[in-house]
Parts: sequence; structure tokens; C-alpha cells
Amino acid sequence: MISQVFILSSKGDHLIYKDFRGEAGSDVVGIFYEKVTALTGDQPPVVMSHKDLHFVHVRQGGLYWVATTTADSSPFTIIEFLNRFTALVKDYCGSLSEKSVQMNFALIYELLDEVVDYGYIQTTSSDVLKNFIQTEAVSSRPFSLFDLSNVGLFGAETQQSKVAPSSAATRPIQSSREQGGKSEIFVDVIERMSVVIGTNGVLMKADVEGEIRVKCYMPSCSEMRIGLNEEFSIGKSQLRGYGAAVRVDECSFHQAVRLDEFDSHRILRLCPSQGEQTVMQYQLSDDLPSAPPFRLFPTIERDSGGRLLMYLKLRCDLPPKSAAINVCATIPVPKGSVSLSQELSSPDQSAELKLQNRAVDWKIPRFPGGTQLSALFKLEVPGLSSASMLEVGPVGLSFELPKLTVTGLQIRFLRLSPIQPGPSQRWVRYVTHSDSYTIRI
Amino acid sequence: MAHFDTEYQRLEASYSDSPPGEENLLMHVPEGAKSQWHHIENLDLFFQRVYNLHQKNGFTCMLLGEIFELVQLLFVVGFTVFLANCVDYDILFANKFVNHTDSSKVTLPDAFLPVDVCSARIRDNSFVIFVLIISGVFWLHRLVKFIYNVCCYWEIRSFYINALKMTMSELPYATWQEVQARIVEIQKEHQICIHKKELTELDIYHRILRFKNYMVAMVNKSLLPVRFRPPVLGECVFYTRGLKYNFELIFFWGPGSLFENEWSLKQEYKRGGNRLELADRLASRILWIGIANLLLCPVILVWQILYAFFSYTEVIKREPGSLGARCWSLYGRCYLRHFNELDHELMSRLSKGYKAASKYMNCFLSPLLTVVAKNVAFFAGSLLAVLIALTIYDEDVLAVEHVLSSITLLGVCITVCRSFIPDKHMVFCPEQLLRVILAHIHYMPDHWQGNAHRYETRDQFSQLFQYKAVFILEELISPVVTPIILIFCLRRKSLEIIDFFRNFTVEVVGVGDTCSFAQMDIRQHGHPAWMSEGKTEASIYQQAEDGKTELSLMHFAITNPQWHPPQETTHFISQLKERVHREATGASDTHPLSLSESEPRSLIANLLGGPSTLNSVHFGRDSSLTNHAAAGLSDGASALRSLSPISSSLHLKGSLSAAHRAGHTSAMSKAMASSGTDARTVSSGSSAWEGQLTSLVLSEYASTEMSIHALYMHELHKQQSRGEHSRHTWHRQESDESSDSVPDEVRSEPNPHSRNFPRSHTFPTTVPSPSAIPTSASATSSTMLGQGGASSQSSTQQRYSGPATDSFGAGGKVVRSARVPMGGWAEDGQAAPRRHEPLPEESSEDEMPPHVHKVNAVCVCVMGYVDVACLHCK
Repeated sequence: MISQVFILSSKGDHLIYKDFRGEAGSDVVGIFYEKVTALTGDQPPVVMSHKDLHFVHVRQGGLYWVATTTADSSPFTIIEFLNRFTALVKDYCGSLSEKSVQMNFALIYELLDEVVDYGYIQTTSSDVLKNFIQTEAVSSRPFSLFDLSNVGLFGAETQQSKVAPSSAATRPIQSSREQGGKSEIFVDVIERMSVVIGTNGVLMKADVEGEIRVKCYMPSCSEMRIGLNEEFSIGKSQLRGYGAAVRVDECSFHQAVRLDEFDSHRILRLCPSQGEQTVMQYQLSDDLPSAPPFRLFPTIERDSGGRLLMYLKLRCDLPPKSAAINVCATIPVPKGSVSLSQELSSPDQSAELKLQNRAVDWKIPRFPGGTQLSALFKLEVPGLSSASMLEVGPVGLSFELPKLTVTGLQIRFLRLSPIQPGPSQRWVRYVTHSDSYTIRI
Repeated sequence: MAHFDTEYQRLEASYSDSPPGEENLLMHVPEGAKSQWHHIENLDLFFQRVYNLHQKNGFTCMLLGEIFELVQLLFVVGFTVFLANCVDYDILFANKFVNHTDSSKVTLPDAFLPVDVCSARIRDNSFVIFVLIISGVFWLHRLVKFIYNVCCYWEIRSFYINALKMTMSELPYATWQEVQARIVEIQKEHQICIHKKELTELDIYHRILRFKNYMVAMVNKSLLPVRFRPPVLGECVFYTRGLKYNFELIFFWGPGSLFENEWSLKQEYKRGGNRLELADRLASRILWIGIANLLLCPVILVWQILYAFFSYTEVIKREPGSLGARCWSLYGRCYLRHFNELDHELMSRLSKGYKAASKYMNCFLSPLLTVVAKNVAFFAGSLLAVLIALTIYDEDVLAVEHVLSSITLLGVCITVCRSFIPDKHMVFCPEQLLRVILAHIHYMPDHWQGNAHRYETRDQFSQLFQYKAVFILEELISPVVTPIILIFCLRRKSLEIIDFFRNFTVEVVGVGDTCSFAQMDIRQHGHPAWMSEGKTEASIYQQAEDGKTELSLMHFAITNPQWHPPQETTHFISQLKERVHREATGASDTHPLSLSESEPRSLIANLLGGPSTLNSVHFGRDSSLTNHAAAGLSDGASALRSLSPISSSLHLKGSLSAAHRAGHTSAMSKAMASSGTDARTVSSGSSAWEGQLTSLVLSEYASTEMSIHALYMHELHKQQSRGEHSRHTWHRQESDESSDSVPDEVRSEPNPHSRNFPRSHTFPTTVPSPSAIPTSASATSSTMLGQGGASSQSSTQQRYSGPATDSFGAGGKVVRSARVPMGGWAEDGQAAPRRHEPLPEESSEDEMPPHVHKVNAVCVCVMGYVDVACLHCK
């Protein structure tokens, strides 16, 4: 039983506020914000209480999504509801941000009206809701040259026909034809890596968590079949024989997925509803099928002028045709570092000293596989002692590896039945990104 | 969720099961140094050709050889036809007289028919036409192949010259290992294989031997129907070239075969889903190929006959004995082959084993035949003697019709009979011979050991090592039998075959689909009874039989020391090497003192001591002066020692130096040294050893090392697998030792087949006391030996004091007859009856605690010294 639902921006602005039962006043919004900001640390507790009122919140898209309740309802139900609600808002508005929520407040109120009635949750299924929601989302798409390239001269094949920007999937599911409401399906294969590499270059921990997400813009679609690699195997028992190619330790599926063809042909069957769903989640621990993507060769010493010299060689062990993008290496530096002078190998890289984090951020926008970059950082540290040398801690890397999955999982095909009449568009995106990638020095 | 910059790719509309991400399979070849050999498409063929060119000693040799083969074929066909149709034999046999005006001499051209008559005869004879057409088609086929090959190998030649920087003239003197090392080297600059940055030796082997590995694995897992049980003949193996060709046609390259191209299995065979359907399809394909074989049977038969005729007549004419000679059968080659073993490696291994193997087979002569042969030889000999005597008296006897031919026939008859009569002075000991064979062939069913003297073992061994004549005969009947096997035997196995290919195919990056056994992964295919206990996770289905995985791994690691195996594998290899090393040193170091040592010591002692006798005896023969032999041996020993640091394993060095330290048994150390190493190597003298360490020497050394490992693993396996039984064997061996010859004791063994042995061989079933002869022979030079041995053997002294006098006699005798044949020793006829005293200790020996039995194996080596020691004390 939900008493109120409200959405706050990160600065505490009231974006959405809806009271279902009138059990508490609207001042609770301010109380909540005070409670959240009063706490130090990055993650305030999900459930907080004030007098007899309980706040349950999730944070998504930089916003606080809060539900309050007075009764003893299950907190997990409310958390799940909030998650589903954010997913709904994301589906309907295209993306989750302060701006999109502000622009689509009418739509969100309409959604809330349908989803919750007098504090009782009705439905969160987009299939049911699409019959009731009439308001169209207002999307704020920035003008980009990319859209222009869409226009093929004399029907010529343009770049557009091969790739779509990542923003293509962030559009509302219900939109008029003029807004380019094509029937499209986007499949995301996203893997997160947590890797720890020891001082001697030995892989100490390597976990991969991955998921397959489907975002469907099909108005009517009875069944979809997604074919994964045939060599996909689960668990260690199936390692033998042909196809040790793609292996995961375990995986779980969305409840709507039917697995009758999975064992023999590795095909997932599902009837997607509009919007985004996580079809499958899998994980692989302590075993990377390939070499870890980055290796670091650091040399740290003190020069005669009392400065700290860090000479870093970073090697990217990806296959030569792929590249890592948005690579950022965070190197913790000793306390009291004052300034930084750097020598980087190319001008598009940048490095800066973040004083409040006591770290140097080395940013590499694009890092092709099979190459090696080096950087020389000279840190001005007054009173540098050998003890403070030890403060140069483990290097954390964040990166994005486009068009690559570490496990090697691929979408073999995606079939719709009945076959769609028009030119239905199917898109796939493979991304591996770092959850935490730590290289000890 | 975080925001990604990654773009979406279009998922191509595919309503067929296209392989995942077709665009990903297109490899991006980086720009830059583009050489001619950058990115070779069919590396399998390429490496095979590189290997072939190396094996055929360069381009010119190959070219010449092939041209001559073509010419020879043409000549043989033409000449046969000419002989059959264009010669008037009546004139040649002088049944018909030629009307010559001037002289009565018959000239050769007289016997030729005129051209028109000749061609008419050929035209009339449809069989000859048929044969001619077949040969013509075959010849054309060969010609086309030849021209194609020349083009291909020209490219390989330029690869050798330009990329590998080896001229054709130096190719015959380069080992394959060198060529391979260069290929691995140039991969870095040319990138022959684009899937990988660096090639390993294993990759190259995998590519060259892809299909052979499958065949070896299938024979190993008894998947191929090659063993049959026809009603009369008993169990026999039928595996001919024709059958092999058909198997390969069905599995690997024929139309509709399991393989898509040289390097990848067809997609549908990799899935388990429709295995039944695929099996049906395979079965029907086998049926059709069988039927095609049946239909083509007459053609193939004629071809086989012609082929056999062409290839063997010349040989048989030159040396008729070659038919009686033996050769390793095709099945044997498959059975004995390691995974990832190239042809030349296998050949050299088998050739080294040839001598011992044929000696072993010669041990078994049927006594019945001997009796018959003796008498036939007697009668034929007397007739021949009379004829020869008459001829000597007056050579006009030769002019009498058929006298010359009957002399020839009788001579042949006697030769044949003689081969059935065993040499009086030869003594064989099958067990030792079999061990020497094992040192080279590396594989052997478990039940052979200890049963070497039995007829079953011999029969089974003859499946691997058959008569050449049988081989040719099998080839001849193969066209008839092959379709039957295909249709009735292979077809039933189609489901198993499908399963086999699915389960045992792995895709290796840069190699393609390959047989997973060939990966030599102990974890996946190890056999717990073969030292990989605890390391293997394989189910029974996945285990390779006969320790194939383990032995192959050792073999590959030893022949390719540069190869870096995966970690677990390295662990296994080093562990094994370390163990062999330790036990080698341990056994030689301590055995004079530690008779109560536990069993592993005995292993190495036994196997080092075992064959040593043979080789040392062999040396005794080689150089009638014992000290000369000793010199040669110590050369060999020191050479081996100097080599050992180069090789990765040090165990030989250990064993040698330890043996040297033992000092008082110099002969012993020499025997040890010669035990592992090939006789040829050591006897080749010091010059080869003291010269530069060529890779040839290294490979020789590697084969020696492999032999030791193979023996060791077999020995360990034997002990592991049959604890109780082995003790029995030990016991017998041991008792034979102690008694030197106790035929009564042997007869008391539960061995119904022992009487199959020719009694004329003095002690056929006994294992000879190893090193009794060589030690006693060299004992004259080393007097130290006596005291050392005697003092150390106080525990066994009492036991052996009994036969001591006896062995004194034996020893002294043998010193006199220094000419000793390999694999046995010569002996005076009267020696046998003198030694028939049974040992009083025999009964008490049986009551000894079990461990003593094992320990007694150590005694085997020591025994000789004890004998000699006692004799010196006296």
C-alpha cells in the first residue's frame, strides 16, 4: 500500500508529486531530501523512516524515485514497483533524465494514475497500459548531423543503414509516425567486467556479468526467437567436445522466455511486450576466455628534484580490429600532491590531477587493440618520503569495449513470427564495460 | 545504467541458420609488410607440402623421382604387353627352327613377332585392351597429378628458398625440427597464419596430421572395424590401403564427407540434436560407397594385381627372401602411432624396432615343421649333393634337360627348409626381446608382458608385424573384402562415428577443427591407470586406451623441446621426468646395498637392467675383445653424459654418473648406459659423439629418452594395474635368475603353452641372468667388482651360494665363446645338462614376505655380480 510517490531531482527539486491516500502531508518531500543529503557516503539506505512514515527510494537517471508508506507493506514489493515504474517511464519517455521527466510530467501523472489506484498497485505491464495511455511523449532530441546522413541521396546506401547511434534506442515506445516511429528491435548484449590484476601481472580475479536486453518497438509481435551461439555452454560439465568457445557459469532468464529450443539449438523464444526487458543474465567467474584487455607496466621513482615520476605503459590486448573507447585510468597519488606535469603520447589524451580524490585521471578517448600507450607524469609532492611513495595505489581503469563481448556471446539471429510485413529493423549492440578493473602496482 | 557510446549494428535479416556474425569471420588483414606468404589460405595443404618436400629431399629429387616413376610405369606396362603378345616363345625355346641362310644362331630379333601381327594380337585380346585402358587412365591421372604437383611444389620451393632461407641442396641435411623452427620463426614476420600471432610446433603438427590423428584415435578407441573373427582363421586384423582409402573418403574428403574443407567439420555434425538423422545419412552414404566399391571391384582387382605385379616382381626377383621378411602392418602403424607423430618419426621408431621384432618372431618355430623341414632338407640335400658331384665330375651333366633347373629348385627348397630349422646355437628370450621392442614401439597391450613366450602373444604381435607376403595378399583380396566390410561392419557403427566426431572434435584457434585427443590433454583424455590418476577428469569413453595420451604427450614434448605445453601438462611432464630421474639415480646408486628398498626403485633398475643384457651382449659380439667393447661403451656413456645438460632432462646423466660413482661395477654402468640408448648409437663409435652435437644426435638422444620413458610408464602401469599378478611374474623371473636354468621349475608353472617352445633352444622360457655374461666377461678386467658385490650382498649371499659353483662354470665357459649373438647367447651343447640341479632355496623363497619378491627385481641386476663375486671369492 503506497501512500505517496514522488520524484526528486538530485538538487531536491520536486518534479513529480502524487498523493494517493492523504495520510501524510506534502512536507515529507522536504524531510526526505534532508534525510538523504544529511547522510554521508555514496549510498543512503534504501528504506528510511520518519515517525510512522517509511520512505523507500531508488536512484535512477540521477533522480530520486520515492514511495512512502505507513502500513507494514513489504519493502521489496515497493522497491520492485519503483524499479518497474522507472522502467515504464523510461520506455514511455525514451530516457531517464531530469529533463525528460520535466517535459513529460503529464504523461508520468497519467501513468501513475493507471499504475496505482488508492495506493494499491494495479499493473505495470506495458501491454495493458498501452490501451490506456494516450499522451504522447515529448522527446528532446538534439539536432545532430547524424540525422542528416540518414537521408540517402537517390536511395544510396548510407552509413545509416549499417549502424545506428546508441541514442536510437532511447526513444519513447509510443510515438506518432512523424517522429520516426519505425518498428524496430534493439538487442543489447552488455557485459561488465570486474578484474583484479596483481603486481606481477597475474590475473587474480576475473568476473564477467552479462545480460541481454531487448527493446522492442513493435506494435504487434507474437513471438520472437533469438539465437545465441551454438557453442554456448553453461557450467563446467559441458566443456568437453566441440564448442568450448562460449561458456558461462550460470545464467537466468526472464520469466517470459520459453526455453524449449534452448537445449538443442540455443534459441530463446519470447513474446516481447513493448519496451525494454532483460531477457537473460549470465555470469562467468574466475575465468576469462581471452587475455585481459589491458595490461599496465608502471615505473615509479623519485627524481633528484624530489618529484614523483610515474612512467606508465598501458597495453591494450584486444584484437587489432577492435578498440576500447572512453578509457580512463585513475591513479591514486600521495597525499599532498600539488601539481602535475605530463607527457602524453598523443594530443587527444588528457590527464588531470583530481585533488579531492587524490588521483590522476588519464583519459584516452580511443585506444585501438594491439597498441601500447605510454605516459609520463611528474608530480610535485612537497615532502615526498618513501612512505608516501607507497600511496601510489592500485590503478583503476574504466572503459568501454564496443562491438565486443568478453565471453564471445553473439546473437546469431533474431526472427519474428509472424514475419513482419514492413521493413522491420533489428539492431544489435555488443558492449563490454568495466565494472571495476583494478591493476595493482 | 550507464550510457554507452557504442553504436548499434544492424542484425542482418537471416532466416537461415547462418553462422554467428558472418562479418566477424572476415578477418581484417592489417596493411603493411605484405609478403607472398602472408595469409596462406589453406595452411593444411601448405604445411603438408612443406613437409613432403622436406621428406623427399628437395625439389629436384622429387621431380626426378616422379618423372622416373611415370616412365617406369609406362615401361612396365609396355614391356609386359610386349612380352605377352609380341614374342614368339617357340623360337626362343628352340621348339621351332628359324630359316636362316647363313648361320644356325638364333638372334633375339628373330623371336619378335612382326609389328602388324603383334598389334593384331593385342587388338584381338580384349583383356589386354582392358588392362591397357586401365593403365592408360591411371597413367594420365598420374601425369595430371604430376603436373599439378610440380606447380604447387615450385611455390613451396620458393618458400623454402626465399622465406625459410634454405637452399634445396641443404635440405636433405636439415632435420624437420630445424625446418619447423624456421617456420615458427618466420610466422612472426610473414604471418602465414593470420589467426594467431605465433605458431607453435603443435599447430604445425596438428595441421599436417589432422586426419591421421583422427584415424589413430579411432583405432585407439576401436571404432573402426578392423578386427574380425572369421570362422576358421580365428581373430584377425584386416586393414589394407584400400580400406584406409575408403575410410578417408567417407570421413574426410569424399563428396558429402563429414568435413566441410580441410580444416573444419561441417556445422551440423557439431550439434548433438540430429545425430540419429546424421547417422542414418552416413549409413546410407557408406552403403552407396560400398556398392560403388562392389561394382568397381573387377577394375580395382585388376589394378591391384597389376600394381602388385609391377611393384613387387622386381623386388622378388632380386631377393626372393623379402617375401618371407616381415613388415609393420598398416594396422600396426595406426596402433603404434602416437598422436602428433609425423611419418618419418614413426618410421624411424619402427625401423629401430624391426630387428628385435623379427628376432622375436623368429623365436617361434613350430617343432613339427622343424622335424619335417629337417628331413626334407636331408633328402633334397642328398639329391643336390649327388647332382653337384656329378656336375663337378663332368659338366656335360648340365646339358641334360632339367638338370640345371632341378639343381636350382633343390637349392631353393633347401634354403626354404633351412629357414624353418632353428640355429642350434641360438638362444632367445622372448620377454627381453619384447622389452627391447617395447622400447621402440612404445605401445603394447597389458597382457603381453609376462606372456611373451606364448603363442597368443606372438599371434597378436604378428597382427602388428606381418609377413610381407601376407601384406601383399591382403592388398590383393582387399577389393573384394572392402565393400563387405563397408556394407556390413562400418555401416552399423555410423552412430558411434557421428558421436565420435562430435565429442572428440575441438576447434583450436589458428588450427581449425582437430581431434581433441591430439591436444594431448591429460585432464580430458588421460587414463588413470597411466600415471594421470587424479589429474584426469575423463570418463571411460574419453580415456585414450593404452596410455596413448600420456605417451604421446611425452613423445611430443621430448621431440619438440621448444614446445611450451599448457601449465598442467608441463606439470605432468616435469613430474614424470623427475620421477624417472630420481628412480634412475636411486636405483643405480643404492641397489647394491638396499635390497630392502621399496618397489619404485626396482622399476627403473629392472628396466635399465633388463635390456642392458641384450645390448651389452650385442657389444660383446661386436667386438670380440671385451675391453674394446668396454671402451666403446664408456665413450657412449660419457657422450650421453655430455649431452644430457643440453636436453631438458637430466635423468640419464644422473643414472650414469651415479653408476660411475658406484665404481666397482664399471661393466654395470656401461650396461646401464647402453640399455636405454640404441645399440647403433653407441657402437657408432666415439667420433660421432665427440664431434659437434648435431641435431641428429639430439634426436637420437630424444628417442632414447622416449624409450626410457615408455618403458618406465609401461612398467609402472603394469605394477599399478595388476598388483597380485605382477608379483607372480616377478617371482618367475626372479627364480629363473637364481637358478640360471631350471626347466623343471618352469614346467611346474601353470602354463599350458610352454610346451609350444622348441626344446632345442636350451632355455627358451627362462629369462637369462642379465649381465651375467658381460659382467663375467669383463670381470677379468675389473677385479674390484667381486669384493664390492660380495660384501654388499650378505643377505642374499647364502641364497646364491648354492649355484655359485655352477655359474662359475657357466661364466668361464662363456668367456671362452665370446661371439655372442644379439638377443641370446651362444652356449655349448653340453652346458645344459650340467645345470639341471634344482635350487634348494626355491621353496623357502616362496614363503618370503611379498615385498621381498618385488625387491628381487632389483636382484635381477645385481645377480650377475653376485655370481661373479662368488666366483672371485673362490
